[in-house]
Amino acid sequence: MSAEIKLLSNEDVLKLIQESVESLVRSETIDGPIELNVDTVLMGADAVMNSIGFVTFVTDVEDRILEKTGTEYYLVLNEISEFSIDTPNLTVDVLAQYIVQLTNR
Amino acid sequence: MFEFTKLQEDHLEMVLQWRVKPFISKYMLSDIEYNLDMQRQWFKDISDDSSYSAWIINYQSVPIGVFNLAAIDYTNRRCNGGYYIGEERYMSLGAMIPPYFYNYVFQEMNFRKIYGEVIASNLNVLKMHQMHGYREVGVYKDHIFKNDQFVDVILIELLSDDWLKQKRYQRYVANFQN
Repeated sequence: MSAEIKLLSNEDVLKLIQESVESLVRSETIDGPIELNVDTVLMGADAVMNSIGFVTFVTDVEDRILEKTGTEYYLVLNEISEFSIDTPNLTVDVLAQYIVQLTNR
Repeated sequence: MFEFTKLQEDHLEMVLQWRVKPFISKYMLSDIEYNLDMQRQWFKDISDDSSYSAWIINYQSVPIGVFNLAAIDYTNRRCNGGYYIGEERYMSLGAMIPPYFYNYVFQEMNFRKIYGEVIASNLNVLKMHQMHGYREVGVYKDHIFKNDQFVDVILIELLSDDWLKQKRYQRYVANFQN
């Protein structure tokens, strides 16, 4: 018997991020409203959420990935090459690309 | 990603500059003045105190903040913990730090409990502690006189079982210099 492996596309991940942010705004975990696009900064200077909001967001995204794929994935920021010491900024696009790579490994 | 190096005398000026910044001192249980001699005396005192340890938090080799353990009690395997990010541009990394030291305290030191006190108005930090599995033990009403008013202090504690059962945080392991 083999388990069905569900791969996530970039579009799936962007939707998942959008749903997560909306949910966290609704629960007042992060301040809203937030207009998300691929360039929205999720973490770092000018981020749309504070540090605690971001950590909660990561947790929520991991839960949603598990729900969609049936597999536990953990987001590890230092695996993201664009997330460097000089520019500790993480955009929706960079995070989405990382999640796609992570879940398709 | 993060590395924790022991606080040394040559860090004192940098740490004092961080400690008196308004965005840091606002949520501290005590206020201190900018006095390097007093800072050196404090360092001498803690260096002789086996119940206290402090580390510099380094993000990819850049010092960004301080983490300390106080009231370290090896008999009852409990301690008090605290930290802050002193470099404003790295504030966004702040909430990622605690899992590293919880894993250090509960897995490396094999302690049973971390406990602490948080100023009641520090809602973000209370929310974060709750997410990490802390329980609220009680409230000291009007416990501290700060900025011309009495403020409440929330008592919190985190037990090793409540931390270690959260699998998602197990990946946050860093090197702590002894």
